[in-house]
Amino acid sequence: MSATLVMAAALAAAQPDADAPPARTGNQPSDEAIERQNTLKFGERKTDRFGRPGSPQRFALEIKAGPYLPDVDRKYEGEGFGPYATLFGETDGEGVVNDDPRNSVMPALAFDWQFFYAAGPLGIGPQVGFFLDRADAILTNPTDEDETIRSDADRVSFTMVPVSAMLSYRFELLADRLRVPLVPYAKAGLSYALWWTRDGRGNIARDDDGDRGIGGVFGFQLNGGLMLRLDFIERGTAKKLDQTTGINHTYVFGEFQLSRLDNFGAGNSISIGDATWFAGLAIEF
Amino acid sequence: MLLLAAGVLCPALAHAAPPAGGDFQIQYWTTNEEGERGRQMTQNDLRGYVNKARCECGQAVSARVRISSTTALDPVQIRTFVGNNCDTGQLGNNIQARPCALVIDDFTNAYTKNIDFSFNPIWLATGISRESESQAINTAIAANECGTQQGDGGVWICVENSDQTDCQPEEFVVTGPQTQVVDPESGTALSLTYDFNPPNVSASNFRASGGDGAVVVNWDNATSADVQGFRALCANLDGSPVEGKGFRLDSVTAINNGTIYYTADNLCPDGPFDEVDVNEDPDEILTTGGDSDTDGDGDGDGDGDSTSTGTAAEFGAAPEVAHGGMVDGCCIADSTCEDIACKASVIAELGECDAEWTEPCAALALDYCQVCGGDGSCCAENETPGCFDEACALSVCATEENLSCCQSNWSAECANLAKESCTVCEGGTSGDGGGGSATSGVTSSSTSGSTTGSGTGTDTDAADTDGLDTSAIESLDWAYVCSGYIAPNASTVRIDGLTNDQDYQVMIVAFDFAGNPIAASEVFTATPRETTDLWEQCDAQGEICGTGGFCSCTQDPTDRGEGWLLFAGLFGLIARRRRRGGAA
Repeated sequence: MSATLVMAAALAAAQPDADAPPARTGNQPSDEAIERQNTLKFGERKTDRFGRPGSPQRFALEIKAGPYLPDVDRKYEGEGFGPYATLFGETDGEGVVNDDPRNSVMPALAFDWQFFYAAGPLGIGPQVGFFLDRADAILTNPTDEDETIRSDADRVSFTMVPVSAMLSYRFELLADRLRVPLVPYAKAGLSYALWWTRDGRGNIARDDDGDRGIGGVFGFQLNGGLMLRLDFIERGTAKKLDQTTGINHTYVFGEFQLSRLDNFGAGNSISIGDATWFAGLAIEF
Repeated sequence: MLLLAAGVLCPALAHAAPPAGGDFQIQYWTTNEEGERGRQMTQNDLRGYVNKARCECGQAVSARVRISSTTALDPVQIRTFVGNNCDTGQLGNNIQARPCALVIDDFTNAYTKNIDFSFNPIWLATGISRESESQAINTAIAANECGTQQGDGGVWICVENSDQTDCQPEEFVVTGPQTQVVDPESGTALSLTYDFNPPNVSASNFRASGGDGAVVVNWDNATSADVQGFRALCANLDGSPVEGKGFRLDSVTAINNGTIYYTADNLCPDGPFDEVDVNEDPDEILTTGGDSDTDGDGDGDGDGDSTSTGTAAEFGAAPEVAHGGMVDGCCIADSTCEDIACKASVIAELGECDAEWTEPCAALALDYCQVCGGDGSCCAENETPGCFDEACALSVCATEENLSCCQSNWSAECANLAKESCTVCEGGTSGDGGGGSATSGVTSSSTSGSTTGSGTGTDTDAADTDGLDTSAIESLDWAYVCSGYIAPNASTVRIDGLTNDQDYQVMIVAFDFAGNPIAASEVFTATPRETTDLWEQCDAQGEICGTGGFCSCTQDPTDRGEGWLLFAGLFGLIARRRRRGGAA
């Protein structure tokens, strides 16, 4: 009997305490190591080198779209419509232009490297857009028998790809410190726009002198707009997004863009800038 | 007895067996104009090499047969045939399957080496004529010419294993679909397909308009499974080919990838490479083999079982009734069906058509009997009884006075009746652009109208080809090919390289994978028209678009040089700020 009691006592002493943490084996990390690697530190606010909360913020990416109409006819001073409107303008039933062309949608992609912070990031980066307009070609020698002066077989097009190097500044102080989710910003930069126009056969157009309708023009571009920081919708989710992906903030934004693409007025070059607006989504990361 | 004696003398032979189907290895090659062997047939070749043009040109198929087995085999008589349904045809009592052409008649030992031979593609589609005195392929007379047959054919091998001298159906151990090429999807060996039948085209509403140095043709496309693609043909208004256009085949053995059509005139313009005597008796059966097996059981009788319906006595060893087209009346209610095979098939199925050939009997005959329906156009006069659209033919032949349309030939009067009553003739296919086609007719979707394709910017639904000689382009000569391959789901083609303000004849041709063509559209005319683009418009309005080029920065600034000033100021500001920062 006594031997049995002794064995039971020894067994009970050998059983681990149910409330105590499990014993650590030799292969498991030490408490110091766990502490060092812990990213979920309660009560401690993580900030970047500029004192902003969250992970380091170095880049911004924008995807946007807006109406665009290249100002090709800017230099036209004659009667009626200029050449671009004559081809791409609104037409009546006979194919004759009776109104200015409609805007086409230009999608664009912009990227910033944010290299300095002064109440907001100062960045530099490229912006690329794409524009395409198409219309039925005009019959060169329409006859009285023709019901319309437009060709059913041939479509002509004008395409441009503006590329810009932009210097940007986003005033984020209010959003970072005072939780006002608005970020005004401005950009300015130098642009170079590739452009080409195709004839009804689908080839790069040529005039009577053999000159090809393709080229590139320099110019400048100014953007100004307002971004709405979406973090306020659900701050916890925004913080988790930052912790898991490094995306600091997400935005919707609208902006005004003024571009003047005409080789700064030098020589006899095409003019394909526009004053328009864009809307889109952006992230900073 | 001989084998028994051999077995006693040689124990090894006592355990040998006659060759089975799997013991034979069969391969096919293409051949050139001289019949010389080209490349071994691939999967695509087996599917679509043998078309009507190759049949008409007699472009031979080369084959090799040998026994690949290494085990001892009985020294039995082995006969090799070329054709389809050779087992049924060998009986000689089936109206729709004639005996196949005999290629080799030898013993087992001969087959242990390669046996190479070539045969005219016509033998894949037809058996020997009743008039043929010999079944040997070199002297046999073909029962039919290259028509609209299609099916699976190839080498058939009969291994004699009974006392009967002729091959019996059950003695065929190789039945066509046995090649070394295996279908990757089904895993089964592929047969040598023959297809002489042009596709059914459902494209319609062809419209042409003139572009700058080009004609653009658009159409409404309802994809047909049998259509492999299209080609656009064009010709000058006088019918001559357009300079710089046309298609040339590298060689007659070029790989068939389904991108071009074939006609005999294109493939063998100097005449057939090889010719086979074809029975000229119009009362000979129209079709044989693959097409006749409507129930898929392989016996060709349409009853769904695997044996031929009726006995030889029932059919008659050599029926004397006519069997051309719809001549036998099997396809028309309340008439007398004189096609014995057709009648037997229908009676076996319905069991009530012996006394009176009622409407159900005729309807079943339409499904079962190849004698129903002709090959010719319904909307134009042709020399064959009936026309290709069975419903149309039956409606025209419904009255006794018009029965001759389905019994003798499809006269102009029959064609007129068809135009009045048949949907296939709606829209009109008369005139040079319609029934005059060299192919088997223009589809019912052909459009009509009277406008010319002047390229006015309005669609030209069709063409007025009155007075034009369109026979040249309708010959489908490759010299008139003016486009590349057009996919079957396409609905537009642009023919470039034409001269503005000059009229052209244009037509669209559809073809199947084998390359059998059919005129998808009628011939219409269209005129390329010069058009103006933005660059020319800018030039005309004072060089508004400048001079083009990628850099104009070396030119003198104009009075609009404010942009340069703005940027010079901006960068000056940045440079000054940086200098200040550096000093600090």
